[in-house]
Amino acid sequence: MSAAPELHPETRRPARFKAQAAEALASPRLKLALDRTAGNAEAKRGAAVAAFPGFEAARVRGAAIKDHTLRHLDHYLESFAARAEALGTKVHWARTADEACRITVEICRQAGARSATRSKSMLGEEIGLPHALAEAGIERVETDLAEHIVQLAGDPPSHIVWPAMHIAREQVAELFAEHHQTPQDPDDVPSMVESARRVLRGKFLGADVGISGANFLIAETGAVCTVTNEGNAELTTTPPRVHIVTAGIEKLVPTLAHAMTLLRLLARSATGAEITQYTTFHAGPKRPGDLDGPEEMHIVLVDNGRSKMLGEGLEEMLRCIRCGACMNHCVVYRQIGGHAYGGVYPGPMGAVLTPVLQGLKESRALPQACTLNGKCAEVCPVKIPLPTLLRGWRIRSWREGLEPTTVRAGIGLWAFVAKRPRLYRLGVKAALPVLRIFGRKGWIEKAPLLGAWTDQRDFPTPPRGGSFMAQYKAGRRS
Amino acid sequence: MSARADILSAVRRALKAPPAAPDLIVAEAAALLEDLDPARPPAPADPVEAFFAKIDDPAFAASIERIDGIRALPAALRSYMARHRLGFRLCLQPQEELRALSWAGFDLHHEAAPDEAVALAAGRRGISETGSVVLESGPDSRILNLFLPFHLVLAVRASTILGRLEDHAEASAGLPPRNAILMTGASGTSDIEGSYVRGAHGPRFLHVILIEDRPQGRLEEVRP
Amino acid sequence: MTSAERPRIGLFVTCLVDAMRPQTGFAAIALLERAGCAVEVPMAQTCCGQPGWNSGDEKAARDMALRVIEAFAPHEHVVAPSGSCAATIRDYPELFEPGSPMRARAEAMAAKTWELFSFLTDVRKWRPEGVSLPASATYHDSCSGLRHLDVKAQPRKLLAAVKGLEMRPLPGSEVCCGFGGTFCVKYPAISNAVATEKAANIESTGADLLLGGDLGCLMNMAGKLRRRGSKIRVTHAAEVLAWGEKASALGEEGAA
Repeated sequence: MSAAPELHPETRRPARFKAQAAEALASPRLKLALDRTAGNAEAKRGAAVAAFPGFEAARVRGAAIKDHTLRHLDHYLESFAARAEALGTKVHWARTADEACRITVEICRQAGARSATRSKSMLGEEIGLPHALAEAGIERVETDLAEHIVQLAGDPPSHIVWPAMHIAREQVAELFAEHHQTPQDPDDVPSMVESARRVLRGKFLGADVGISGANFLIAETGAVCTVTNEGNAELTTTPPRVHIVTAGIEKLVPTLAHAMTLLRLLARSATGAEITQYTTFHAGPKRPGDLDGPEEMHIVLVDNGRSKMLGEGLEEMLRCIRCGACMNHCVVYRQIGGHAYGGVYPGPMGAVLTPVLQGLKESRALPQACTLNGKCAEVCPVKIPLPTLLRGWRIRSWREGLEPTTVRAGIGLWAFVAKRPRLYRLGVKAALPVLRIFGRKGWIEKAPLLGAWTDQRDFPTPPRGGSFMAQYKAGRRS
Repeated sequence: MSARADILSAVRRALKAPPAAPDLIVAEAAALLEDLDPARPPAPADPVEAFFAKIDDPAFAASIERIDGIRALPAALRSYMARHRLGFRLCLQPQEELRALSWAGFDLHHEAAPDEAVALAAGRRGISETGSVVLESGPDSRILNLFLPFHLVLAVRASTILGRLEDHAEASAGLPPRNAILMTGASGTSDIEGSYVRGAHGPRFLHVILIEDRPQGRLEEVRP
Repeated sequence: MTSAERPRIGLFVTCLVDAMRPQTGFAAIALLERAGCAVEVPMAQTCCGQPGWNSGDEKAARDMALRVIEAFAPHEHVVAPSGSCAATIRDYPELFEPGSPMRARAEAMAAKTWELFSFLTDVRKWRPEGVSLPASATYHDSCSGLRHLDVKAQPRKLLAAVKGLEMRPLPGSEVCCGFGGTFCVKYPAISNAVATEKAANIESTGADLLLGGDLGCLMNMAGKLRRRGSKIRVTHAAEVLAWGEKASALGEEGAA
C-alpha cells in the first residue's frame, strides 16, 4: 500500500467555517451520504430509546456518575494511576497535545517501531497524533474501516462515530481499487469490507505498536475500556509488542458497575444497539503464562485544556461520552457535515470543544452557527446543556470583542431603540410604510437590506393599518 | 514540576472545593449504584431463557443452540462444521474443560492462523440483558483465537448466565484478567454509508452453544 | 370581580407580531378574554431582548429584561403568542446574580410568564367553542416552545375543538425550521437548506394550512413555501382559534 497523503490541517479551519459550509452545501453527494448514514443512525437510536423505558432515568444516572467523577477527578486520577501501575501499565501524563504526541512517539521509538496500528480514537486526532507519527517516520495503519477509508482519501474524519460519513460507496470503491490493488464493485459493500479485512489482516499481525483510545478508564481496577463493533481494537492491541492508550483525563469512572450505565447509554445513542459487539477491558500487559498480549502497556493521560474546562464553566461538557447523537440530530450538521466545522470535533459538541482547543478567536463562528433549537441537548445521553454552553461562548465572544463590527453595530442600534419605547414606535411607524413599497401581492421578493432573507425566501408585506401597538392605541381591540 | 503534579494541581485548582475524604467519595459513588432498576432493563424472570431468546432473535448477529452437558460439545461442533462445510480442522482454545473432551475425528490445533476457518472457545459467563458472552485472557486463552477465525463458536454453561450487566461487574470483582471481553454477536460494521455488513475484522459468524449444566437441567421445561 | 375569577393578564405582544402581524396580537386578546381574563397591553413594552441574549450581548439583554419586568410588574400573568419570547423571559433569572433582589424579581417574572396556548390549556383549562374551519392543516412545533416550555399537546388540543378542521401529522414536526432568530441572516445559506427540507415535508402533507405558534418560524416557512410556488397558506394558530374560517394567512392583506 502506498503511503496515504497526510492531511494538511491548515486547509480547513474553524475560522473559514462560512466558506467551508458553502462548499459543503454545494455538494449534493455529501448531503446524500449524510442523510443515508446520519438518518439511519437517527432512526436506530429512536427505536432503541423507545425499546428502553429506563432511558431517561439512565440519562439522569449517567450524568450524575460523570459529575461525581469529575467533582473528585484528582482522587480518581490518582487511584486509577496507582491501580494501573500495579497491573504493570506505565502511566504517562501529558499537559498538552504536543506533550502527548512526544510521549507517544518516544514510546514508539524505544520499541523500535516502524509501523503502528491504530484503533479509532478521537483523542488521537485531537492531539494530532497522525501527523506526529508521520513526522517520526512511523507508518500509521488505521484499522477502523472508516478510518482506513479516510486515511486512503487523505481526509480527516468528518464524524466522531462514522469518520467516513462524507464518503459515498462509489468513492470507497475507487480508493480500494487503487490502494488494495484489486478491482472493486461499488454496489457490493460486503466484498469491499472483505477487501479491507484482507489487506488489514497482515498489517495487524505485523505491527510493532498498537495505539488505541479509551472509552472509559476504570479507577477501581486500572483497566481501560474500549468499545468497537469491528473487533479492530483487540486486533490492534493484542499482537504488537507494545500497546499505547491515549486518553483524556475526563474518561474516568469509579468502578466497572458505574461504566455499565454509561455503556447502555453510549451504544443506544450512537448506533441504536444495546451494547457494542466488543466491549473490552484492558488491564495491563501480558502476564506470566498468558498466551498472547502486549509485553508493554502504556497509558498517556492527556489534559489538553480539560482541567481548564473544569474551572471555567464547561465542566458539563466533560461528561461527553462521544456518541455522536448531537451531530446526527443537528439540523446544521445534517446540511453541511463535519468538515465544514474545520476542527477535530464537529457538530454541537464540536462547537463547544473547538474554542477550547483552538481558541475562541479562531472558532467564534462555530457557536454562532446554531439555531439554539435544543434538539442536541434533548438527545444527549448525559444531558449536556449544549445550547447553554454555546450561548456561553457567544457571551464570551461578545465580551472579548470578537464579534464583527457589523453585528455589534446592529445589536447596539437595536438595543438603543428597543430601550426607548417611544423612539421604537416611531421607528416601526416609519419603517413599515417603506417596506410596504416593495410589496407585491402581499409579499416582498426583493428589498434593500433584506437580502439575507429575500435571496432565498419571500417576506410578508407588513400590515396596512400600522403596527399592533399603533392600532391598539387607536382603540382596536379585536 | 512534573506533568503529573501540574495536571493534578490544575484539576484541584479548578475544582475549587477542598478534596473530600476518600470514604465519603466511596459512599457517594456507591449511592450512584443504588436503586438502579428504573435506569436499566428489567431483570429477566429466567436469565438462561432470556439469554437464549436474545441470541436466537434473527436481528441478533449470532446463532445459538443448546446441548445437554458438555460431553455433547464435539458432536455439536461436528454438525456445525458440516453445516458450514468447514472440514474437520478446528482451532480449539486450550482450555482444560475443552481439551478433556473427546475430539476423535477432528484435526485440532490451538493457535489460530491469520486465515483460520473456525475456532471454539469456552466463555466465562453469559449476560442475558445483552446476549453477551464474557471471554477472558489467561494461560489457557489466546485472545487472537477469538478474532482471527471466520467462524467463532463459543460454549457457555447455563449455570454461568447472569441477568444484567451489573451482575457481571459484581461477579468479576477482584483482580481483573488482562483482557475481559463482552462479546455480543459477530463482528460488524456500518462504516460504508451506514449499511450493516458482518465480519469486518473479527469473526463473520458467531455461534453460541449453551450447555445445560444445572442440576434439574432441562427436565423443568418438559414438565407441563 | 376578584382576580381569581378574572385574572389580570399583561399581553406580551412580541416585536414581530407588533410590526408584522397585528392580527395575531388581537387574536390573542380575543382568546384570553374568551378564557375569562382581563387583558392589558403595557405600552412600555418593545422586545423581550432575545436578539441581544442570543448574540451574547448580556448587557443589552439585561437592560431589556429590566424594562420588561418593570412594564409587567402589575400583572398576575404575562402571556405571549410566542414560545420563543416566553422562553427568553423564562431565562431572565440567568442574567442576574444569584441571591440579588433583581434575580428574585426575574424569577417571579419567569414564573408568571406563559406561552399563549400553554396558558389557555394548562392554566385556564379552556377550549374554544363555536369556531369552525373546514380545511386540512398541519402543525410545526417551534423549538423553544417545544423544548423549553413543553408546548406540544396544548395547541393540538385547542385546534381539535375547531369544527371541520382536519389535522394532519407533519413529518419531522419537531425538527427546527432553520429560522433561529439572527441565525437566518447570519448563515442564510444553511438556514435556507434547512428551510427547504422543512418546506418539502410540509408540502408532503397535502394540507391546506400550516399552523404554528411562533411568528418568526412561520414567516420563515411561509416565505420559503411561497418562493417554491406552494399554495399552502400559513398562519398563527391563535388566529384560527379566534376566528376560524375568517382568519387570514401571511401575505393575505385586508382580511381579519
